[in-house]
Amino acid sequence: MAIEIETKKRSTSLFIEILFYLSIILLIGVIFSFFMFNYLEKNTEEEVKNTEEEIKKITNTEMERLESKLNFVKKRTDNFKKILDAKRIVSEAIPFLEKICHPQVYFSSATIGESEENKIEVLGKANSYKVLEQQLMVLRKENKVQQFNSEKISKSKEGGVAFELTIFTNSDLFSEK
Amino acid sequence: MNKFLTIIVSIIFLSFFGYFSLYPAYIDWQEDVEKLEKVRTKKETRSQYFAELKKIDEKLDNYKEGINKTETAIPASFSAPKIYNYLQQEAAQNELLVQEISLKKIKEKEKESEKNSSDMKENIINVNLAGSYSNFKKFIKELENSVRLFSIEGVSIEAPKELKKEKEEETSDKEQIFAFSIQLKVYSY
Repeated sequence: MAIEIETKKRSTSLFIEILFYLSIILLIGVIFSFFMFNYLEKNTEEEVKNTEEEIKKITNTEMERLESKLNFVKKRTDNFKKILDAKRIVSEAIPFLEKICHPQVYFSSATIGESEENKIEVLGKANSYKVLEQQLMVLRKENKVQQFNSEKISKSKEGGVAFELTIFTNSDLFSEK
Repeated sequence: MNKFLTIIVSIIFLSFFGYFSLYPAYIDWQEDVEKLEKVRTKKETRSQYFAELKKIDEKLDNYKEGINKTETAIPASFSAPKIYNYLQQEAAQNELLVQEISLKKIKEKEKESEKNSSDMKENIINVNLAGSYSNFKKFIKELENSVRLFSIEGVSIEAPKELKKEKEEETSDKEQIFAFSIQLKVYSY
């Protein structure tokens, strides 16, 4: 019975002994880890700061200058392209009017695209009603003419027939060739 | 007994220290590591972007002439006398007489369409001219092809009253004095 008690006491004291050293090692380990984490944190913070400084250096100086220069060029070329795309070649309407004018009709005035895009207003004089009708036939057959209105047709004092024409052309008439 | 007490105290200390100091220190470090990763990625992206900008800038050097042309086409500021002078010179070269030049209206495209974020200004100029029909055709072609960008908004042609429309007189007709009016749109910043 005495031997049994002795063995139990020994095993308990060994367990306590192991636990004791384990707790000491853990204690040292935890304290060491705490300082290590703090050290690593400081180091990482420092690195973050340095990297941010480097980013600032890149961003502040040449990059900003380059960015604004390229943006400026882009804006200019974009605007230039936009205007060129929308540009109408009004001069194309002049040979068109020459082409559609009947040999016995005289256009005394022409207004191209002023009040409305693709609109041509013409004041003219024809030798006779028959000639005027032929002129309107020419317009009807012309595929660049979308629509036209003949207004204020009257006998002129000087002879012939005075008239006003409003012609709506296709937009491709004014586009660059 | 002493050892047993040390163990108990150690366990209690480890629990409290671990929870209140070690774990937060670890979390802080992890957060900083994440932050560093983000900053490094940002730096890399910035560097790449910068390198790309440099490349584009170098490429643009090859197109200097074209870029200069756009600057002439749409100058930095609007100068009415400069444009009037240009129009007068062009007209004179084409034997046309400038009777009147006027600025119709000024509208800022920026105000008109802020959505387009374009800060261009548009100016409408009215030009009244007199001269031969053939010269006017040359003049208008030159304006359309001019380095300074003009958009011809409208053209009005008025034949002389005494002009008689007769086919055989066509050559002499062209020498007669017509009245012309052009509405031009010019652009600037």
